Amino acid sequence: MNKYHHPPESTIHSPAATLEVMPDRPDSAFQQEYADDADLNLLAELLAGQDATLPTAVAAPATDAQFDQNSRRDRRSMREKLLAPEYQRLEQLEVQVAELQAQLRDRDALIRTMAPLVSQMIAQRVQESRDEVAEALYPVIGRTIQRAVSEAMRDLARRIDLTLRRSMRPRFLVGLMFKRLRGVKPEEAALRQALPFQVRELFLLHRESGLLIQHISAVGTLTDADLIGSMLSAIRAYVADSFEPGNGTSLDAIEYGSGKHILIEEGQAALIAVLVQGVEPAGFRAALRQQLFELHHACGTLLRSFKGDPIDSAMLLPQLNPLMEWSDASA
Amino acid sequence: MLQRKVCLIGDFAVGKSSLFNRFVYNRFSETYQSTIGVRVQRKVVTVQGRDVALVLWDTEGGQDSSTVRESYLAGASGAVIVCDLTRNNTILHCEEYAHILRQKNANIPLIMAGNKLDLVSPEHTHVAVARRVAQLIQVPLTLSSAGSGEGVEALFQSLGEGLVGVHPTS
Repeated sequence: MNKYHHPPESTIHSPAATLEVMPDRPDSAFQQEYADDADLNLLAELLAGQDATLPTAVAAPATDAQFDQNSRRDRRSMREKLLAPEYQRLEQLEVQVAELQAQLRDRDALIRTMAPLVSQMIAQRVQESRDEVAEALYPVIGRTIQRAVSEAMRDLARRIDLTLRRSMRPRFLVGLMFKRLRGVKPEEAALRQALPFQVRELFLLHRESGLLIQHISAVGTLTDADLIGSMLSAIRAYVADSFEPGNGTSLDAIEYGSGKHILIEEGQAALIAVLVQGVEPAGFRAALRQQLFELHHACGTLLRSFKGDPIDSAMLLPQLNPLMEWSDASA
Repeated sequence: MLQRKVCLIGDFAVGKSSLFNRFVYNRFSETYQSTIGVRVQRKVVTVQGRDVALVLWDTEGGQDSSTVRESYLAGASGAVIVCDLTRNNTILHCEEYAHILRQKNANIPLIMAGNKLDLVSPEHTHVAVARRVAQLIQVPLTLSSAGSGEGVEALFQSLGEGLVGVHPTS
């Protein structure tokens, strides 16, 4: 409903309401009244058209006050009629402004609206002038990187320090002597000791189907261990088919993140995939192979006929648990 | 829990991934995205009060069965051969897919899914062709629509029952 468009229709189009006093008006006063009014012509037309229909009952003499009042009313109604489109436009604008204000107040909505634009803008800016953006971000990112590197170095220094303090223990000295004999410098040995190795997850998978037979975790319980196992098998199959078709070679390691690896050792009926962190100690691969061999020796028939029915963990864990024990005590 | 590897196999764009998404996530997208390699997901069905985890391998489709990566089919306990009821050649290719699967495992439970049922009427000639092919390769046929969800649950439930030997699906 247009609030500016009042009273409106009834006043403009109702001769009884608007024009009942017109027969008695003094023409000179009327013309003076409307001399400067742009609506005069339109009003005159309206009067000319409606005089003929005036009821005789209302043609009574009017007072000056009544005349003034009616004149004002006429002018107002004319203005309303002439300015109706502007009033409507104004009302629409007010609604739009109110909506915009509401959007500005609702921060979530504003973020939703702006986020894609801002992302696009940043991406475009980075593409166009990478150096400028890097320079602008350096005070923030540079400091963060600097802090992260410093923390990592301090952590490494603490570990080396701890290793050196332990170095007086007979067991360590013997180990150091062996390493020295193999050509490893003491500082390298200390550095190696400072980078702990951890076996985080172990998956025993059926070689053919990729189904998970057993899972051991050192860091918590994975809810999707079976899916991870199957995906690993799928990746291996994809790599084997795509890069070395018919060659019989397979994926035996995947590296990801910082110093994390998935090592895969394949047996006749099953394979072991271990997720490790840190530098893999010498002999770990051989241990993987050895345990897998022993597992096949102990449960070969079960593994070969595996279709997805659970296998008693007690039969598998004696061969799998020793691999988890390769983790360094400091990890 | 009992696990069974199930492969979805069929020509490209017959709706393997759509069936997979409808069954696992109960969602459907009109946008076609070609599968590269394989996608793996698990869903548990209950057969005679026993939970069976179906490990579904949604394999990439090709023009016909010659492009199938057989390594994905290794060790599968069951398979869904999917065809598009609006494309006659995808229905005819089902015979070749069944042959490939049976070469790997002669007793593998199979089920044929006549997909995109929402786009054809049940009296359409392609539906009759699908019935004939299913009969020929001795595989039960389920008419399904990943778009509307019709027949999808029944399809995998039926396969699950076949996998644990409640009723034969091949």
